[in-house]
Amino acid sequence: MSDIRFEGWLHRSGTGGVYQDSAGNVGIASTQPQTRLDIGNGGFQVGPTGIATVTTVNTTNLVNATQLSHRNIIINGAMEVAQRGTSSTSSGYQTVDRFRHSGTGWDAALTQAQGSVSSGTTPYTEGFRKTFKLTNGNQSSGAGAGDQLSMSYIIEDQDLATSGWNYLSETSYVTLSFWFKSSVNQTFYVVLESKDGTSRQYSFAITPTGADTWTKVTHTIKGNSGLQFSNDNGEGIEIYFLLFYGTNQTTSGHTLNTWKTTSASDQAPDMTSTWFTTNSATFELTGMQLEVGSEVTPFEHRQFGDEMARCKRYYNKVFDAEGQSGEKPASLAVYETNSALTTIFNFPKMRVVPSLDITNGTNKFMVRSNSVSDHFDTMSLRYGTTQTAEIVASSGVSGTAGYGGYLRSADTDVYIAFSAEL
Amino acid sequence: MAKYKLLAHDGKTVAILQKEGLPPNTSRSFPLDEGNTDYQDYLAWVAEGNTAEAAD
Repeated sequence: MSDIRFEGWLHRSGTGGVYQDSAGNVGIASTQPQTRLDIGNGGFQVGPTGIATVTTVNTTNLVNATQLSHRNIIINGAMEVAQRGTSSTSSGYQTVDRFRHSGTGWDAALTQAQGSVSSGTTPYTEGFRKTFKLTNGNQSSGAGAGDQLSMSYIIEDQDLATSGWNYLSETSYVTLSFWFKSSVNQTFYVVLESKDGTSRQYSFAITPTGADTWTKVTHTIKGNSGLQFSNDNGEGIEIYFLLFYGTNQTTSGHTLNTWKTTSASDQAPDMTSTWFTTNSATFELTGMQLEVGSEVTPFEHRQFGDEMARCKRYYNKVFDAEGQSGEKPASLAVYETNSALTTIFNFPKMRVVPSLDITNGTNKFMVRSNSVSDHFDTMSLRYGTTQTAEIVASSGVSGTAGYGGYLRSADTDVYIAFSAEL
Repeated sequence: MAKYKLLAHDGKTVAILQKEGLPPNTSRSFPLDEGNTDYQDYLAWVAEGNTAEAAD
């Protein structure tokens, strides 16, 4: 059978029809098709890789391989929840829930904060209002070979094991997307590190489109037969944003965009130290999403209360004086000899039996019982489960054993929190 | 001064108090739970040959 060669089949009226250009693109009611298939000048397009772009879909039944909700494996990816506070010069988990900064070799502490997205920027118009922000200190001795500075997020093992990602297969993917902004225009690296079994790392480069310019990153990552994620509450993958790693941790010949066995001395290509050696340099992150599949979808915005509930599995501030002066109710208390104790319930259940993080300062708390008030400085954990904790004040109290009473805060900055972070 | 102090009740160690490496005006105490990352840090510290302060 011979080929039929044509450039266009027109209706006999001379309008509308089917068109084909020399590249093989076919248009229906599109005289200049822009993709492999173009109907109505962009109303429905199918590109060379089979991806369809449709203006509107009206359907009775929609079967979607990508789940429509709960796509984002990252908790608090919009950086809205910050139970611990909004600014700190300490490292670790101190501000935005589930995100931390860590490292070594600094001359001056960095400031981590819950930053704000400025109105008028593209992240703002997409619904993002908060960031996880790092501001550099004055690293006066420069960048050393052993220096490290990163922001990171740890995914719980079972959230990967049950995500639907067939992580052992190189034809199964997850896609990581986020917005970032840096006051220094340089290349940074993102490293995913698996924790179970033989640890593996996957690294890729990110470069902003300009200094202090929000840049959207989308990166698809394939599975690997060496990955292992247990269906438990341990560490699954830690996602690092490397702001600076010295040459003790990097190599010039590092291979990006592939999984390999973790090597402490080969975690990324050698890095420029410009950001690290720039006093008050800033780096901000928001809109972080990790989803199963090879295509990025719009960020899954969740309500504040939903995100807060997810965060409380890892950190739960059960009492916060919220800056209010005067005595505020914290809990019921019972006296033992020379100590006052109380039981606190955590909702939801926490990941593991948590640590107690609590205010410590002169006369921050009081317990009132039998018409007597005792002021004391702090409390400590005695017994705990994933849902309950018995905490005790064993210094500064003098009540009579067997009496009940009220535990109250006695200052504006008093808090009681439980941490079961990864 | 040791970084950690044992907390006891009825003659048994029930929790551990962290005394260093904390934000200002903060007290941290944690359980003997192997999934707790503070306890994991404590065990690593002990493995380096350190000893916590005894309980009162």
